[in-house]
Amino acid sequence: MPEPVVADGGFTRPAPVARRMTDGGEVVETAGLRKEYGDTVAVASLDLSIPAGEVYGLLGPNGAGKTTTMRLLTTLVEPTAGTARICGTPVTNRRAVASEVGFLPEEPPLYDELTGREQLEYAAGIRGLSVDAETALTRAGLGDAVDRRIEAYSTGMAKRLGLLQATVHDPALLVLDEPTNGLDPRAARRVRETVQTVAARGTTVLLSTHVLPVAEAVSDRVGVFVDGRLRAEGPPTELRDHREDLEDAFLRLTDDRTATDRRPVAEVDD
Amino acid sequence: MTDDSPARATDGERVTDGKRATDGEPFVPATRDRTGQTGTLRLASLIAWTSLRRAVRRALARPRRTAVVVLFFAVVWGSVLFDGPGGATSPPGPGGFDTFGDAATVGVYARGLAAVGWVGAVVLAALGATTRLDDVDAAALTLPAAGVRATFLGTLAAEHARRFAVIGGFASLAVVSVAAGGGGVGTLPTGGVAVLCVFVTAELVGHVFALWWSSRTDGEVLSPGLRLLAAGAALMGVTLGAVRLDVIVPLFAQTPLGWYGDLFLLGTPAPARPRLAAAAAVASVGGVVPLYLLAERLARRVWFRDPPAPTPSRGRATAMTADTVLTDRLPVDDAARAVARRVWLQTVRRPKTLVFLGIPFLFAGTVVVSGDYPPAFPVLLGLYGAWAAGIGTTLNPLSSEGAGLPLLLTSPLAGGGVVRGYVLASVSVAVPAVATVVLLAAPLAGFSAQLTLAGVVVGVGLTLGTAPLSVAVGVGIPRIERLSATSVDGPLTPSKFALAAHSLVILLLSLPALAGVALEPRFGPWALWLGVAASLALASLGGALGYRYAAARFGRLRLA
Repeated sequence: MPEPVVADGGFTRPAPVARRMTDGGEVVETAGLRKEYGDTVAVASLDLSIPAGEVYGLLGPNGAGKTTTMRLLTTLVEPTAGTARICGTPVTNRRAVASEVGFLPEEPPLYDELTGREQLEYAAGIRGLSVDAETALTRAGLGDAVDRRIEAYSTGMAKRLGLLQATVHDPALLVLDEPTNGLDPRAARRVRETVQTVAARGTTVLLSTHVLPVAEAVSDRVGVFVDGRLRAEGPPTELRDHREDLEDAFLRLTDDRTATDRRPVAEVDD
Repeated sequence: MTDDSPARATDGERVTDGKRATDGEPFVPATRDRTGQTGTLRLASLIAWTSLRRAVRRALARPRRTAVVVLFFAVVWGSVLFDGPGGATSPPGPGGFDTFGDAATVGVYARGLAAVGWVGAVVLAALGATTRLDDVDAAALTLPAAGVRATFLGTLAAEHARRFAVIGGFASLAVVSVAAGGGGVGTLPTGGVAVLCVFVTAELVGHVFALWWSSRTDGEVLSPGLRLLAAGAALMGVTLGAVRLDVIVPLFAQTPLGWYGDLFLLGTPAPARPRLAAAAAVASVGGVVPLYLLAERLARRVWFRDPPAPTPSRGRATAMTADTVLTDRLPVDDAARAVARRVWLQTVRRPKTLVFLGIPFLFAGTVVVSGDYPPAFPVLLGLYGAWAAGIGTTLNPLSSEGAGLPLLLTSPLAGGGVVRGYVLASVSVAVPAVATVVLLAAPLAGFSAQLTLAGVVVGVGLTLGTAPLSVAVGVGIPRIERLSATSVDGPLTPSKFALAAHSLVILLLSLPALAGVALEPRFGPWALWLGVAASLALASLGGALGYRYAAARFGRLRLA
């Protein structure tokens, strides 16, 4: 049975880089965070606070602003207004934040021409680290594909490799955009286990998903995004009404016709 | 038929009203049954039309590129129209064709050029043939719905139409202009028929060849190394042909392909051979269906074959080579070295850009065939090295990053580190290569030790100096695919505008050295070395500025 997909396969680092926020410190803090693309408001005045070691699930319909939020927190886009801090460092300080964040976008950022070993060595190399790629890949169940080019990888293999490289520097914040998208149940379960393993070590995890059982299984808290706004947040059990499951709660919260009718306890005021 | 099946209306039209979902609009659209109107030709036309519409929209989405192409053909066609036989500015004479020479010469050239044109069209068609199922537009939708025959026919028709629009269309216009402007003796009554015969048969033969070759080689048409050699050899061949047209054209004129030339010449004063012209026309028309059926049969075999098994050993070998080239002794930080190693591996494994390196073969071919070495040959060789090094690795960095760009941008690597990585990937291979080529070629061509040394110094100096400059040009004028694309077919070749800018930069920086070579016989060695020093100084300055610009751009880069 392969182990969870975490790149701890014997990497060495020249100096400790992870600066964990402990004792109640907030790893993610945003205030009035806003992103506009022309006339389109992708994220509108987001106030978010995620403490160390928490798994926070971002839920919302397509186009709700989840991916933009993740890109803002990973310095891939610049905010139009507001502030965001990772471990106390503003996201405008890209290099400092980069040391604290590991990111797996929906499409894993891999180079098709490289092999799995070369990709992982590259991901470590650009952070000034070295990694025992073979051990890490083998532990992640990619032992047979260590020297195979990534263009021949399946979706699940690419996701696993993407997850490995996102954790190669032991980040304080792991950001996962639709990590189980396109995976079979077994692979999806391994991703879930990986998230739980990483969180148990004290890493904060921010993940977006449309698979609500995944969000419910791994998240300490979830936030429901609608039209660039955080409509509700709280532990999954608190977001649900008595006899509904998380899917019902999601549909209720994201439906404009009913959203104003019933406000859950954890609903966020704009 | 189940209860869920759509009801069939009495007028023969199947109407699916779609089941109402419990909430919102249904996903099942209302349709009308037109199965009586879905013959292969109709479906193929629909596929071809859709493909062409996409091509037109892509062209409109890239107005600069489209404008350049249109302008190029407008200039060429305009020159034929106004300066060709019988044109407004052509020399006065009794008729259009007379300006080419006597009738016999016209006949030979018409046949030879028709044959050469046919071969060229075959090569273009073969290069553009759809030999992979992945290259079929929306194959998962089109193939099950329309079938293989309609899909292949539609795809082939669209490819043919695209090429014909650019090249065949130009040829047709040229023929028409000659016909219209040639007065009583210059008309080409069968010119249009000849153009069609040439392009349709060449298109089919090119497809048959490409598909047959692909079926023989199990998908791996040519290994990257062989592709480079083939491209170099092809360019060399083109050069030889262009330089020795007086030999090539009469040679091709004697082949059966030259009969197309007779088809062009029917009705003109040139000595056409009507029977052979008729044979060319009949063979072309009669060959269309068998050639198409053969191509389709090959496509069925090639499109649906199993993918080749992955070969891990080659990956390890190239990685080890990269490690050998990018040794720890080079004074670069580890992060930049990681970038360099990755860029190097990408370049070697997807060597689209390296095809440009074959262009110096044109130059070498011309020089070798003519036996006339220009005085600045060693320096020009060095310049080619610097030019090619930039194009091969550093001139399109954003495309090299492609889908991996978020990884780079979420790393702590600063912009300068990225640029140093690209520069290292380029110069670690190019500098020894440039020096070796000049040191070998210049003495063999009989040049002095001084000029050889100058060539090495200029080549190495410009390669070092222009590497960061070419990265700057590449990030300033990028050519990239959407990062969100689920299938990115490797790094793209650099933008044509980046290529032009890079070439211009190299030319400007080398001007002093070239002037030094020109002035050396008159003013002595100091003029040569002054020019070389000036070029190196300019290259250093340009390199420093380019480094700063590119590093800043990479540092500020964000996703859209």
